Amino acid sequence: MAKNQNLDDLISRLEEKEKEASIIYADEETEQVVIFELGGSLFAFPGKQVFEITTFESITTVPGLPSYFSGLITLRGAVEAVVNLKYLLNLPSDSQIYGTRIIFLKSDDHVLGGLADLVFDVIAIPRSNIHPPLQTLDEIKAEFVIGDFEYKEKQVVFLSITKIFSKIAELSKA
Amino acid sequence: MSYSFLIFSVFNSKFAISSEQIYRIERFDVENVEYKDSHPSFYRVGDYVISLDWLTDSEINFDDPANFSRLILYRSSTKIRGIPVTDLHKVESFYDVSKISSVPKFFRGRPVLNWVHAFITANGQIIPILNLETLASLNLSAQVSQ
Repeated sequence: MAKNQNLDDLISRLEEKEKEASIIYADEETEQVVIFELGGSLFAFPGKQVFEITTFESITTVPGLPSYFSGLITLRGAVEAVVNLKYLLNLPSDSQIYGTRIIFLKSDDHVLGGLADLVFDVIAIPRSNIHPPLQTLDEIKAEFVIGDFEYKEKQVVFLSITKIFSKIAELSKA
Repeated sequence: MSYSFLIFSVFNSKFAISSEQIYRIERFDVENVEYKDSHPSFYRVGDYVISLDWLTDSEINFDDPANFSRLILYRSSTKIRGIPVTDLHKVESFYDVSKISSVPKFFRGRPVLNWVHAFITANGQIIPILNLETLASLNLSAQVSQ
């Protein structure tokens, strides 16, 4: 009987711990994130740098555009470039891009679109829930990663938009 | 003030060139292509030999009648250069800049897209307006099957 009580106690403590983890204290700093799917994995961008999310309609390719760009698109009358995030993150690419979403990202005064398979959610998470990136992360992804966090029992890789812009700027110099 | 552009295509891509910058348009004759290192970069126009700007990196098969039909000759600095073209579409005039967009800020000062002056944006289409002073730097590797 005593054994069962111990177990019950353990379970209720675990449940409390779980509840606590899902509570956001008013004074705790949170980060708004946009969670999206890319090649079967979940990724997130900092919400404050996401400018707009649109459905993919058509994209214009122009000669000489490097392969880390999917093409050009018009957004509110302006022409913007769309980055092939799968290429940049070394994820398996597919030619089927219709039905996908374009997440427009802003860094300084520059705007770039990023192709995502699906946009899942826009949520605020406590900063304390964002863990440093795993040491085992592959080198290419690690270049762009701020950390990771859990979302509905799935691991989400949190990406730095600033690092993505810097990398593309560096590649575009060549 | 109006801006007038000739819209043309090279295979499936459309481009625009300022009408004022066109020197002449003539029929593209494969016989006049000068081969150099199996890459046709030169073309005989009367007594002159001019450089060609290929706006494609696709394989070019001159035996295919769907290939180039016209050659747009333009003046870049003091030289005449040529653009082999699949189809000529139309000359379109714009009386304001509402349908013209600039090159995204991200690309300004970078070599990618430095051959584009601006874009014509209409009906969901994005057509690059060629910057003829820097077009030669595009240097696409059009492959020729012989």
